[in-house]
Amino acid sequence: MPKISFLLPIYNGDAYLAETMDSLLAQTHDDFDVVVIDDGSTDDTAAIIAEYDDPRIKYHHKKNGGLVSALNVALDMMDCELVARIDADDVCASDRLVRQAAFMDFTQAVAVSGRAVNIDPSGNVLGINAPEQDFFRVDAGFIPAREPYLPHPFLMARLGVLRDIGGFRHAHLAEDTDLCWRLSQVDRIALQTAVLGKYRIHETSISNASTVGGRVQAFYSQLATLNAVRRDGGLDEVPYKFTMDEAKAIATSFDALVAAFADDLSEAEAAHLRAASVMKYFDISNWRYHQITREDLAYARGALAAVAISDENKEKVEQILTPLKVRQPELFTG
Amino acid sequence: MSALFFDQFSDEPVLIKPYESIGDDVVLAYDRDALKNGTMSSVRQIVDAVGQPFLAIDGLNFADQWFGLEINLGNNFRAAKVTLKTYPARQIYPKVYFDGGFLDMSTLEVGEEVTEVNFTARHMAQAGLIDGAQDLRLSLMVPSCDWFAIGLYGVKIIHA
Repeated sequence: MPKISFLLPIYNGDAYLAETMDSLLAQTHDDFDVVVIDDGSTDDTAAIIAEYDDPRIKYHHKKNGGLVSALNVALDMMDCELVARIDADDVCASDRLVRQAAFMDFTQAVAVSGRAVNIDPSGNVLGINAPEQDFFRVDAGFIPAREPYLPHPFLMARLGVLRDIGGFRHAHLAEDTDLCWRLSQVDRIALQTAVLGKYRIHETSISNASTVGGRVQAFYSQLATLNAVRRDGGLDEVPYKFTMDEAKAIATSFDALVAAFADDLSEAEAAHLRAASVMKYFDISNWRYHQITREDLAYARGALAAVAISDENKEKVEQILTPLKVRQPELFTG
Repeated sequence: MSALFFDQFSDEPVLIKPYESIGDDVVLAYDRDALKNGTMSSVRQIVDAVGQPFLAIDGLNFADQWFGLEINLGNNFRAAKVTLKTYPARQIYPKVYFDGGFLDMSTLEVGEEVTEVNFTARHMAQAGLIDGAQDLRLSLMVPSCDWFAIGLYGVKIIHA
């Protein structure tokens, strides 16, 4: 078995697949393979993969079932020590595996990630990911939560640990946050400052698709945090009981999302979840550019007024609002 | 010169007791009673991404303890060079002990990138080390944190 397997899920993502595959096969590490899990693509994915005559590529086609399903099917069939995640539109630096494996060895972490150069659909450089400062000051009670977040497109983790914690779960569009919380609760995780590749930001990124998607992502990321708190306290988790389509249908507002889980939440948890979710949504909007409405802003003010937050947290709220004031000044006038 | 005990370590971690040597004149320094609180350290010899060997010192520090390296500089000391990295990035507090006292040096920031830190007799004198001080020991201490890793590539001591 190879030491490392790339895990590349894909669904109708043929546009950049060749560039991604080329970057994987150009790795300077000498002991890896590439597991491509095709989640029922109807585009040219299979044909592009077929053009590579390389025994390191393991291609599996399955019926469409969504990202979580694809990732878990892959985890079940993989046979390696370390899993290196990559998406079908991102590009790995040629020394990614060497650097990450060495970093894992040094830190003895069970999961690591690093930084990336952000690029646009044409490959133009937009900037470099800032270091995830919250990673070093995790606080589940903060609004929004300070998460032990490892940027997912460049995640490397031990296969055995990923299986032991139950793989990926249906925390829609925040599967990665849910995974990171669980990893951080079972063992050591670490964040490398090295730039490990290029992360493509474009209109069709799933989490960029709509404000509904933004709400779903923000809500589930904070629900994943609540579940981390509950696990810490030995309590049952709030079940992720809806499908992606159901969650999107519910996500007409944060109130609607919280109400859908009301049977499983205390009043205090519901109030916290409202405030944390809407502020996470604003935070995400600062780089996903969701349009914030006056109603959103009024809702955020009401949700924040219903919870007690520290002065430090108030500063964070202001930091989140500052770019919004620049981007949409009309929200703060009149 | 000081030589790290590369030959004594493999990639399997070995538990190191407080003040146990990991090189000529180099010990891992932490409170002898800290083991009772779960504080401990292990050492392995591994290589980095470019194949350079180093001693990977892994620290668990559940007690409110300082933890670090102590290097015996002896007498007639001229300069010392310590090549290391840490994760997470940490402030390191160098302190020079001598017969009859100690002297705090400027704080250092060390992170994932391999860093060479230099200490010279001249700098120590400028910082206030008394002329003719004997039995010098350089202490590089990391403040308490739950876990950390130090990559120690080399320690070099030059005497007059």
